[in-house]
Amino acid sequence: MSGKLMKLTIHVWRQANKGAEGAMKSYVVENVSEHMSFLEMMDTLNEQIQAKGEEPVAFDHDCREGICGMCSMVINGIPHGGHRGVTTCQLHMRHFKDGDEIYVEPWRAQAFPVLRDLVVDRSAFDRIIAKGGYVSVNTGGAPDANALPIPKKEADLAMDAAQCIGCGACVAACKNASAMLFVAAKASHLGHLPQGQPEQLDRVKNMAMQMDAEGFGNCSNLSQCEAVCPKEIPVRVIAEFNRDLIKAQFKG
Amino acid sequence: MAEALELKRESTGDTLIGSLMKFATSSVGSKVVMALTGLGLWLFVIAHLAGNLTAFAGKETFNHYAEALKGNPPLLWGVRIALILGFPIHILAAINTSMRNRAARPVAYAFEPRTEATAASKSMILTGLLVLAYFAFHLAHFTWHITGPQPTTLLPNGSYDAYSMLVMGFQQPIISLTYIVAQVLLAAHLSHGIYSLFQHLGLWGAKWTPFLKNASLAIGYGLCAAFASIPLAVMLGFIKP
Ligand code: FES
Repeated sequence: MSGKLMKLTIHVWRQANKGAEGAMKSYVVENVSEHMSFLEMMDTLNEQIQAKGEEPVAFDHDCREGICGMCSMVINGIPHGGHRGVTTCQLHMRHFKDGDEIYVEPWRAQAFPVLRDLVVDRSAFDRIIAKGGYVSVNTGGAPDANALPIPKKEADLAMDAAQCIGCGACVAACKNASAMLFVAAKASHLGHLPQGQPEQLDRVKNMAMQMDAEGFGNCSNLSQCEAVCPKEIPVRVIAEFNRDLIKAQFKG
Repeated sequence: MAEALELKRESTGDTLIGSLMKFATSSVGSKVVMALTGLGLWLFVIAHLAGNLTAFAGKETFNHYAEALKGNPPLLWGVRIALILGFPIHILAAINTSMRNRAARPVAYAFEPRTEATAASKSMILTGLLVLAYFAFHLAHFTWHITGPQPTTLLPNGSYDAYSMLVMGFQQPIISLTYIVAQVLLAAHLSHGIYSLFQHLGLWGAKWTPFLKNASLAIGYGLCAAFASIPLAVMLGFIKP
């Protein structure tokens, strides 16, 4: 890769496995091009670490195009590095300059135990989804696409929330490690569509229960989640979730 | 990880009250409790301010207001009971949520997280505790009459001279200063609390919520300024003994 080349100091969390003690460790990485993504910088770092016979830094990644939600790094105290609407894999090194020191840490939450280095176990989200992040569909012939009219406004609201890629940055950013933005996004996505409405009150109740059981914190309305969400999901969904959950207490 | 139980009342056999109690201790539920009690306490603050401002109308009006309050036990005790219940419930819910929050992030970040959240919104527990401490002192002075300068003579009609107590108290700079500081802390608490309570109750609106954010600030600090005007007026001599 061409472009300006940088030399950076990376302070990264190293932890051998789930039970092990971890610590921040510092590395110098050279020949980082400004055209690289943050993950490519991490790849470069790993090549240089491996050349010295050390274990590379483990981190999650998959699509590298901002749609899968696997990449998960807290960069200088901000999940995904703090550029609006951007995942770690879409973060460019041109935002850094030669000689910078960068802190790279895993998502920090009781409910997201570190498995190794920067890799955390996010299956708590899967268990929450299993509690209500779906619609029950009777099988049969596929209905006509336009048989069920949905007002544009409602479809837009549902789409705002449906963008969630489940990365968990909201939890990582929240001072309380609350999962409200994720959970509420899933509920709002389905709740704004006719297919999701019949089950909405049960959905919010059961998802909220599972969220508590997993050990996530409470929402303090600081909107730290909204600020880091790579899909810019608004905290509006949290208010909707609260309203549905209050309603659900009285109905069934 | 523990699987959460399905929460339908038919399956748990709970009564409505029983399931509401469970909800009240859950993460969203305890915030709803905090929001409802907070709303009540906020309304109390407004009513209290309205009463206090009668001090500007002079000794007679203020004492008349104080007597009218005392002479209306249902109102007085209704408010007192609401406070006696509302305060501890608000605090219990706060303890519940902050314990859960602490447990939710056992390992802190090495790099201090940077956020745009306001200082007031991040220190609700601190401002709440300080206002609570002030509240105890405030009661001791103005309600129980055990601290602070107290008038030695009763009014001609035999009732307590609340106006003179207020003026004598606020003529002492230290009492006025503590009062004003407490109001600023309360304002900080309200500036986030008012917005937050509507969010917890699910009262969101595309136009309403951005308005509410600014309104919370204005209301919080507006109430503060109105409260603080009383000791300032006493010290500057606008409210005379
Ligand atoms: S790797 Fe898929 S979103 Fe970043």
